[in-house]
Amino acid sequence: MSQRWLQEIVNLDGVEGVFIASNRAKVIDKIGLDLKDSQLEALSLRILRIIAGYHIKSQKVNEVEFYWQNLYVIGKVASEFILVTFCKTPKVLSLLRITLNVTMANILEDKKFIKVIKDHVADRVFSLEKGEIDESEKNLISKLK
Amino acid sequence: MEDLNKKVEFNENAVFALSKSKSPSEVTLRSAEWAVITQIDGHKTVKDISNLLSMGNDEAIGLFHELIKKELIELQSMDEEKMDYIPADFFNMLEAELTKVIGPVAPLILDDTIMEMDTTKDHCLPERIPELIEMLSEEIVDSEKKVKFQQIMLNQLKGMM
Repeated sequence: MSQRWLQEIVNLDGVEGVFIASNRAKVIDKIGLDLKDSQLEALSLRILRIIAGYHIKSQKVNEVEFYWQNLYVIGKVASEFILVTFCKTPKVLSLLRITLNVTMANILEDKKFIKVIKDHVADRVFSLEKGEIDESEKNLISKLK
Repeated sequence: MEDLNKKVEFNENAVFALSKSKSPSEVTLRSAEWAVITQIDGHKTVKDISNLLSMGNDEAIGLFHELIKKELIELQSMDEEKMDYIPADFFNMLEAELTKVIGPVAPLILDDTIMEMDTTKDHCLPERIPELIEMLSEEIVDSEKKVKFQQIMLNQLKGMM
């Protein structure tokens, strides 16, 4: 589904692999990586924690870059998922950043992918986005007991 | 005679031709020098020949210097054109696309950015295009337009690389 978008990234010189994880750190899709899902999930969680840290300070962060196990890691964040890229060298960084921006935009326009990723975002039965609990929601909570 | 002894400066893009005044049969050559002589045709660059003979560039350049000293070859051209700079058409297209996004200020922004990159439109190498596009993208405030611009430029890059 998102493989063709990820393939465009992996095709760049110096890129080792790329994966998409939900904002609950579950791996959705990956390409060119020799790492276990559990490792990728741990890494995703770390990226999400960094982003959350900035968010708490009311700072909007769309991208984090760091070194991990001799690889240069770029984590790009959308509202419902993160796109993490591993490169051997940041030599092609400009081209990679442009490709990542375009790939993110393409993924966000892919309705099938968005449908899948939304199912991973959170259990919508329990999500209370309004900040207040209305009557229907109170009923829902009471049923949980 | 003084001219002949003058050190010839050349790079891997230089093209040599066999000397009309002296024949290889008149001098003693090492096998590696012979190998180079057999490849010189007035078209192949030093780099082409070093690749064909599986030599390192430095080794090949050393052999070419020897052959120049023996007056067996002459520098024909050292065209900077071989450096494959970004064609002017690309900058015209880039300017047009940027103008669509940020308006008539685009040519000025483009010139400033190129200057900031310490290069010129005539001598900008293709590998610096992504950097240029990224720097120009920073000038686009609207994030949707920014991605659209990058998308168009990425497609252009795919055609070039």
